[in-house]
Amino acid sequence: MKKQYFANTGNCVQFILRQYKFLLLIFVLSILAFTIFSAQSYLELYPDAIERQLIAETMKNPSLVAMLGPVYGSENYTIGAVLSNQSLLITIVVVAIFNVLFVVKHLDYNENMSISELFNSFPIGRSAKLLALIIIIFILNFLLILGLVIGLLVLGIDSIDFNGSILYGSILALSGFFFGSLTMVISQLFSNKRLVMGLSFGYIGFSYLLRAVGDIQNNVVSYLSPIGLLQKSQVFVKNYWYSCIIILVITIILILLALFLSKEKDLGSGLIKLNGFVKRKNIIIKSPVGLALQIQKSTLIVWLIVMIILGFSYGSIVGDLGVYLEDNNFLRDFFVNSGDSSIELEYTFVVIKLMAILGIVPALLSIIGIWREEKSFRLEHIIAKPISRLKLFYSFTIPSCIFSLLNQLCFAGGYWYSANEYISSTISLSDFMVAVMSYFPAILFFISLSLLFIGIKPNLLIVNWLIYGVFSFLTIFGQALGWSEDVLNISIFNQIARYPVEDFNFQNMYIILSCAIIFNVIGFLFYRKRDLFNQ
Amino acid sequence: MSYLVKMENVKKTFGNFNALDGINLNVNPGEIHGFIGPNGAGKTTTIRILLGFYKANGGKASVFDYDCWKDSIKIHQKISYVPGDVMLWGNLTGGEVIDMLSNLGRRKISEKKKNRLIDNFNLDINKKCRNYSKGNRQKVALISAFLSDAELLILDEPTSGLDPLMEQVFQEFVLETKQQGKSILLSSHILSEVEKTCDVVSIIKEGKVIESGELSKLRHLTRMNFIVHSKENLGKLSDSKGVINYSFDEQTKSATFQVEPSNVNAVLALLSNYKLDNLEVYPQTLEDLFLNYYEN
Repeated sequence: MKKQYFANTGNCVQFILRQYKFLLLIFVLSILAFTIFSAQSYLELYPDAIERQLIAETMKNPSLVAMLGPVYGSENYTIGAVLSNQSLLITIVVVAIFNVLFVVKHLDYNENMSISELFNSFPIGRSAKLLALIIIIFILNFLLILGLVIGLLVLGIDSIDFNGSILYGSILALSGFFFGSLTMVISQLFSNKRLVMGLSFGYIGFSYLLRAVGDIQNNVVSYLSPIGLLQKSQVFVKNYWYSCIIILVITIILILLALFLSKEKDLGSGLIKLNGFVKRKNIIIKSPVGLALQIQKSTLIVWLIVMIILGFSYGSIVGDLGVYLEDNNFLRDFFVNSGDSSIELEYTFVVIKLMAILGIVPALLSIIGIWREEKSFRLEHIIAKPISRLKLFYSFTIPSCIFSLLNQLCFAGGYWYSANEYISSTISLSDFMVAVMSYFPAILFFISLSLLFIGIKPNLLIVNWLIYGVFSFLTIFGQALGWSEDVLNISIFNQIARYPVEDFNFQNMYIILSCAIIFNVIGFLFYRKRDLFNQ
Repeated sequence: MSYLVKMENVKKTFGNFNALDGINLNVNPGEIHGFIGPNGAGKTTTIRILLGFYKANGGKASVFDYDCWKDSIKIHQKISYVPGDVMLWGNLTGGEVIDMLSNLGRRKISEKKKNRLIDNFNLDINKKCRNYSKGNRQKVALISAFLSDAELLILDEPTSGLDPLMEQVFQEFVLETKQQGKSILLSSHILSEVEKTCDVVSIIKEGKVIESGELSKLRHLTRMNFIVHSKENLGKLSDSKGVINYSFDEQTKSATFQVEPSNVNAVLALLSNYKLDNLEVYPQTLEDLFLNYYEN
């Protein structure tokens, strides 16, 4: 390729680094911190070999293998083996996702044409930005190796040696480099940012699932997934390097391919034209509710799936809780309240509470949609039609409430499906559902609180998140921090009885629901009276 | 005769800022009313009060004799609105947005007219809105508005993103709407467009309507700008009848001056005596007009 294609690559590197050096640094440090803290905490959790042996057997549970990968070195399950078994896969995925996002942010698509045009009007070679990104991604992932080697060796754990640490770092770095390069190739082919992101994340997800299938059946399928292949290094156990070499070779080929393709490409377009290729059915929207659902459709579906998966995941470890919690005081304090009922049931209560707290996030994101529409001025077209503010307000509110209900049902379904054989003897399905739904008023409370702010002054929505943060913190960590009952009871999540161990607290439910209704009505009264689009 | 749009001494403040300082605006049925003023003068604020998005702090505003704040739904049944900065839903196509807005307007639309509008405005309705340029987003909103057969169209700087060809298409549909007896309130800062289409003009500055009336009566405000390049000495022109604000640029050898519309022919005849290298004539911009206004 001609030199002019790469003119001023150095300036591009500087330009991007100047803006993003802190982000990149924070990313490397986070991965480092996560890895080192995990290794350290495994050391504290499982200090002796016999205990680790027990855990190794637990980790062979098929659902855990599907989530975390196969167990290597179970005959001598060292801290290193624990680290590579329990932390490596999730870190690989996180590094891959970050690299994809970083690449997508900096390449040119048809959506950010104005910025791309300005940038490319400078004397910068056609492929310079791509090469600059390759260099930055390389530096980033190289720093990751360097940091991890130093960090892991400083811990001074016997089973975490120099050779293994380099391999551990290289696996993560290559995961980032591989998926980053793949995204660069895809970006040359398609001009649509969302499509590129969808394909890249889709491939990460596919690789993860493919290795899960292969790992459960213990067959060759895992080798077809780059993530599975990297895990086959058996780092800290056998330290095989072949998978890293294979991924490195493929990555280099991908990079050359991306560079080769980039020189033929028009700015902001892709080599594969999709115009008229993707035909879809016309979406017909007849009401504000239809619009509210349509604009949030994909987010809603993703959240529902996430809730099912989370329910399933939390449920799948119920059977092995005894082993997890037996010798672990911290986790036991966290999951087990008073201990007057079975450990499985106590754990179930905690998970129900956690999922209610988590379920508020999609609920709020959805209800704030009405403000997003106003803030972006899209609402002007709708409110100029003969549609009252009342109708508009509840066109967003009611779907959000139903969506939140579905979220909780999805979680409950996933959890019950994977955990019922361990908990059905102590709690019936109907009691379980009542326990899950007893938190629903708290979700409605937060939906209405945000409606109150949207009605009075949307800029105050941050207060809503603050209250949510404080309540969640009190509920999740308050008890472990040994704070007094009075402080803990500030959080409405702590006002909800642990049904069926405790009696259902109708009084508190009525109070929470009344607050929700009052907030909702006041919110609407203000919404009806205030200027729209006045920011 | 009662007015379609009637604003009496309407005031609006945002905090300490007086956005509207007593607006008076009257639009007759069947009239195309140009609403012109520089950016920040209060055009959009006025329109948002008419639509009931903002509540006025004082005065009276009504459309079709309905109060703009209390009866906005009744007003919305009879009007159609195109915002100044058209924002659309990225994951819907232009065609889907046009259909949605017709559905929400609850008015029966004619497929024939829809296709004609889409053809004339040359819009690819199968593209997703996030891939549209500003001009194309504006076309979507304009097509919906013209399609709606509303009795009153309120258009806020509708052509700011359109190319000249599309501006012409826009003007054709404005005139067609007028022929059907409908009314239009057209806010703009492009005077030539207002001149081509509007019967009545209101000029707004700093939250007040400073001039209002039939365009023909405001003619004295709109002069033509002349730029004349010639190797000959043009100095005599400065004293000629109808030539205003004459100035000569030594470097480019060009004379710049303004001419009242009624004197254009006389000045052109005068210019025919010279050997010209180049002649540019264009109507004054709104900014020039304001300068004129304050000169008087």
